[in-house]
Amino acid sequence: MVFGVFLGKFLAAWLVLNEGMMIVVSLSAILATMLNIPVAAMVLCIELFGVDATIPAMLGSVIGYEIMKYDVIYETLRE
Amino acid sequence: MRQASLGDYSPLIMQEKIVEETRMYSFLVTRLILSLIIGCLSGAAVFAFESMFEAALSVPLPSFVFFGTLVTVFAAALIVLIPEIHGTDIDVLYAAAWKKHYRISPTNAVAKYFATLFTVVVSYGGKVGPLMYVCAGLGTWMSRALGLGDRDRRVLFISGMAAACSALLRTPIASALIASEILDRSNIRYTYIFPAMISALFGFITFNVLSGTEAVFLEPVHAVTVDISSLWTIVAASVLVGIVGKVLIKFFDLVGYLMETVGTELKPLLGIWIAAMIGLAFGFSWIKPFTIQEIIARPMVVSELFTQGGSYVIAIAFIVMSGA
Repeated sequence: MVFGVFLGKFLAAWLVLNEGMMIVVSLSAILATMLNIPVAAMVLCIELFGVDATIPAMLGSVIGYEIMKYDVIYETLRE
Repeated sequence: MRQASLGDYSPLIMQEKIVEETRMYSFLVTRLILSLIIGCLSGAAVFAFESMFEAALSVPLPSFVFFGTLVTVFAAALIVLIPEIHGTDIDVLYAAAWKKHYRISPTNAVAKYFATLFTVVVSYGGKVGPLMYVCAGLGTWMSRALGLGDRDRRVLFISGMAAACSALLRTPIASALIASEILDRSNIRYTYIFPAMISALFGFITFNVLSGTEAVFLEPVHAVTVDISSLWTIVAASVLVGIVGKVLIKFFDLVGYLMETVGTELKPLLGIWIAAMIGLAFGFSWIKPFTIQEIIARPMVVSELFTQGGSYVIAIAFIVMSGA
């Protein structure tokens, strides 16, 4: 989670974009990617950032999950 | 569709229906009450953990390298002595859920609680996963004390996980989903989610009451502005983050492979120690007492994000792959 926040802040500063939006995209995509929890990732971002974060959270978690569906950190989730 | 006949309303059938419905509702109410109790207990357990953690952080150490290493040895010894708690947080939870049929012994839960406390005090690492394990253990303990069956044990296990996650992240709805989705995302049921939501809410409230936070619902941490023209940017950024995540997993695998070479017994010791030293060198210790909301709200410059973010990931890779 912390890495998702760092990455979002970094991308926002580097690409000169809205910081909140990039943190939402990054956090939801990283959680969906590394833990395979797309729905929870989306809801978590909405709870943290409010309803305005729905679209970036939804896109981030769906795309992140689709990219990494079968490749996660945890051994048991791969099986 | 069958038409109701007069026989359906006979006193005997009506009585049977009332008994059946009463049994069903009492079953549901019992589950919800037990989830509420687990939520309160978990919130208190997380509050005790956070209080001990903050107290330990405020103790000035004369030599961090010496005393830090001493605590590291103690934490690693606990992990090595109890093989059930040795492994990444999610793997350990998974093993308890699927291999042990939602059972965590009180000894394992207590050992994990203190091993995590020692680890996060001297080094880094997530608190959410280990505390989810500990509070799932509370659910197991309660189901055994009340002589409940397999289904109820599963409900209380997931409720404990949700409450711990909610108390730490301050996000009750997402926590109920995380607990249900992480264990079996293809089999999410209302029978697990509703008690998990109750438990998550009461875990969150208990933590807030004990820590003196008045607000029940927190304000959004950051303003998010999205317009139609930024949709493509969001898609491109999501793909980029997904690719970064893929690279990151390969890096974690590499660290895991390197850690295997030192042997199972030495892995936690080495992982905690390396992470502590990386933290000392790159100065991201400020992260330790911060909540995710506070990290989001903290202003940071690009160079700081690059060095601290990068070094933090390396430290976390060592902690996670060492099984600490």
